[in-house]
Amino acid sequence: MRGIPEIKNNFTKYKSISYGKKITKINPITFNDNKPSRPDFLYHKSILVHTFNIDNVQLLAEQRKFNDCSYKFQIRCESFCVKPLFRFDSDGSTHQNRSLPLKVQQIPTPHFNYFNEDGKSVAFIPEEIKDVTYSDLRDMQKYFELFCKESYIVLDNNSFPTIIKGDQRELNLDLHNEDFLSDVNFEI
Amino acid sequence: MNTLELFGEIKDTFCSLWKYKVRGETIEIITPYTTPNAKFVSVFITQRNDSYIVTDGGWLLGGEYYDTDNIDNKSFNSLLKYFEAFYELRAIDHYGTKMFYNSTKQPEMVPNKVHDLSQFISQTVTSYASANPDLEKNLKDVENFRVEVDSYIKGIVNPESLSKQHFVSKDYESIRFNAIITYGKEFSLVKYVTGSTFDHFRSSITKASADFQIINSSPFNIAIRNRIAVLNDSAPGFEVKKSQLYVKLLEEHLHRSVTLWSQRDRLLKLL
Repeated sequence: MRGIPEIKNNFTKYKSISYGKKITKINPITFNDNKPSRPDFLYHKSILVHTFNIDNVQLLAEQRKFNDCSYKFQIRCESFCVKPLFRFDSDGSTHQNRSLPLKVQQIPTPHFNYFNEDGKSVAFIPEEIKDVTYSDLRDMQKYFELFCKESYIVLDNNSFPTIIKGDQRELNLDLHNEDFLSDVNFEI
Repeated sequence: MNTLELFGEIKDTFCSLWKYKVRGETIEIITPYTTPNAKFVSVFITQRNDSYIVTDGGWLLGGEYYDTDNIDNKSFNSLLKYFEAFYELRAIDHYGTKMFYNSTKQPEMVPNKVHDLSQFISQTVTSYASANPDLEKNLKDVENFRVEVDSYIKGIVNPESLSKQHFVSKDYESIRFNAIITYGKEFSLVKYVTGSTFDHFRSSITKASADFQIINSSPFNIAIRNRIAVLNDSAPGFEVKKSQLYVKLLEEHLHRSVTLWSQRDRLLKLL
């Protein structure tokens, strides 16, 4: 797999956007929108103020409507690179860390993703999420704070912002966190 | 390690790549199959009556194996048709996302279904990625150029003259323009041409030629004041020499020269 040239060739800028101080003026962060391409997802998008005045650094958050253990947070800067620069996925596909021996390449969710100096995507599981169970993930604030800590997103007073989960009850959708296939009528 | 021991190491490693997560009555199987985006394929197994269902859980079209919102599911269609038929899969809608599955009553056939579905996911994503290199970057570049030119045009024309729709009439709905500026009964048509590689650029300029050609042979031809193509001459896909013939063809349908983005002030006279 080749690395992303924009990141590889501008790694200092990448690090500055991903790990440099970013301030959000929005607090609490809420899921006000439906994701245009995915009606089953709630969505938040806002601008982060970067101390080096890098344009268009954005915070994105998505939450599955019928499963409040399934969400992702991302930092994007589309004028720099089309891929999310730093992300947290509570659920979803297992990442392949290709430079490691095959035996230890699988990094299941929940995990974080960043790019290394070769512009290649790497997943990691910090100590704080090593032993989480699926139902632990209901505490979205806890993992959002961890995301903010890893990527240095703060409020003006240097504390971490708050995130409020989308309310599924208003959407008349039953939560089925454990078995997302329970309501699917497969024809057999 | 001798070669036979190496075989043991390889086999152990491959076996260790089968992992699972329990999800209520469903089990997620993380398989050793991979996609070009460095993801391991997961399939889900659940039971209905006496049948075992093996499904992708909606992850293939739900974007779990690529990380962009720009993928157009329609572009997957021909690939999906081929692979769906090949692996004899069925599909069901789940909150707006298509879920693929197969089923069997025989436990000893479940591994076959897991194999087929994993291959299906891996091959579809790989085929898509290899057929569309640099697709994401091109979509983004096209979008960025569109935003830039839109905002320039908005700055120089009367906002009320800018049509909200991008086609001339319902009968010609598939012939779309980036901007239509109306002057009473007359109007001017604007197309933007760009591309992050020469192939993308070529397809953008060819499409512009075809669309102008079609509209020129329509009854609306007499109402067109100016036919304008704004060509992104700083796009990585614009190669002056290779593009020449395509530019010439487009200019035949415009009845004028293309407008280079670096000379955008010329739009002031045309719009």
